[in-house]
Amino acid sequence: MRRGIDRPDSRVALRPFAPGDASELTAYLNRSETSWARYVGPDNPVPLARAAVERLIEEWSDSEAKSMTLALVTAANGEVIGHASAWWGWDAGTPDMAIVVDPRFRGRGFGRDAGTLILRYLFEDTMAWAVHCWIDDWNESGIALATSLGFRQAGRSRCTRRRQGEWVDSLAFDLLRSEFEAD
Amino acid sequence: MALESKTIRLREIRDEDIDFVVALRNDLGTQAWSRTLPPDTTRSMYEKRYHDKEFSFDRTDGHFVISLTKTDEPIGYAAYSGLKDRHEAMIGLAIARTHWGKGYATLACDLLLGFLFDEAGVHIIRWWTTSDNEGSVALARKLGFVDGVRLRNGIFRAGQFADNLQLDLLRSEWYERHPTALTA
Repeated sequence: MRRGIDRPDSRVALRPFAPGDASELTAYLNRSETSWARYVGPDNPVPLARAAVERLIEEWSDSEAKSMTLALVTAANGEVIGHASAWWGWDAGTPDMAIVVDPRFRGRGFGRDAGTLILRYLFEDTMAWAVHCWIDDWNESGIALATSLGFRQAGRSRCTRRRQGEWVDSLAFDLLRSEFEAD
Repeated sequence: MALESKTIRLREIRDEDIDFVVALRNDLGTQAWSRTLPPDTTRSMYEKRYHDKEFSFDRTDGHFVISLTKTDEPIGYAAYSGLKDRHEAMIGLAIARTHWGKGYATLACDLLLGFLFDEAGVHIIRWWTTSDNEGSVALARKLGFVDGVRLRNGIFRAGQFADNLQLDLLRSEWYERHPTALTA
């Protein structure tokens, strides 16, 4: 199992999911605010059964995978408040990342804290020279989070899925190591 | 009905094509658009890649040799991947260097796009390439693809960075350019 990612000065940490996290994970993945931007499972927000979430947790423990999905927990008491993912299957130099915060914990800067942790990990401890993320065009808070982390919008992929009777475009964002280090 | 025009044909990869396809893969100028592989692919690698496939109704990819209609001489390779039912797919192709500049890539893409829009019924097709591949970018735009994404320094190749580009083409845009396809 992968080690966790933390920093002494951070309010949050990232650690491997454990089977005991299935209930909390199932609960927030199926909340309406999360279901269209949960970055796990099917693109469309079909309800995820607990058994399906348990299988996801098992998949995420594969240390050979070219990806990681870690539990986002508070440093204060270890409560699971979301998850953060990165995947580099195409090129280890250009991983993608995603952050999902349980809606009950949004608006407190935890997403930015998690983003900073995972970016520091990717740029300081891996071969990454650029990091990408993809965010639906309706997801204003996600776009704001990416921008606050220093990502620059890199274009638009049209019609990546359907949502509430409309086609959704996916916005691409990128951040170069040199930009991250200069920030 | 085969995927065929007066000039070229897209057909299955046959035993006698393997050496040709391997040579395309071992040419750094014609192999995969982004991930550079060592030019050491062997015939047996490709036989496993293509000949061990089993029939399925759930295919998400298709791989073709581009050949001349009159002689069946192989001149290139075309493929689609990432097919999501009725939604999207990505396409790619490689033409042997000796056949560059003859318009075959355009003709092959016309056939492949026609198949994906008319038969697979996808809504949108994506074209990934790199900023240093000017021919690929020009071909995509000529076919009607629209610039969408530019990921800076997306690829390191030939000793330098290039950007990864994604262009896309909607079915409605394709039919605007090919109105006869709807009534054929």
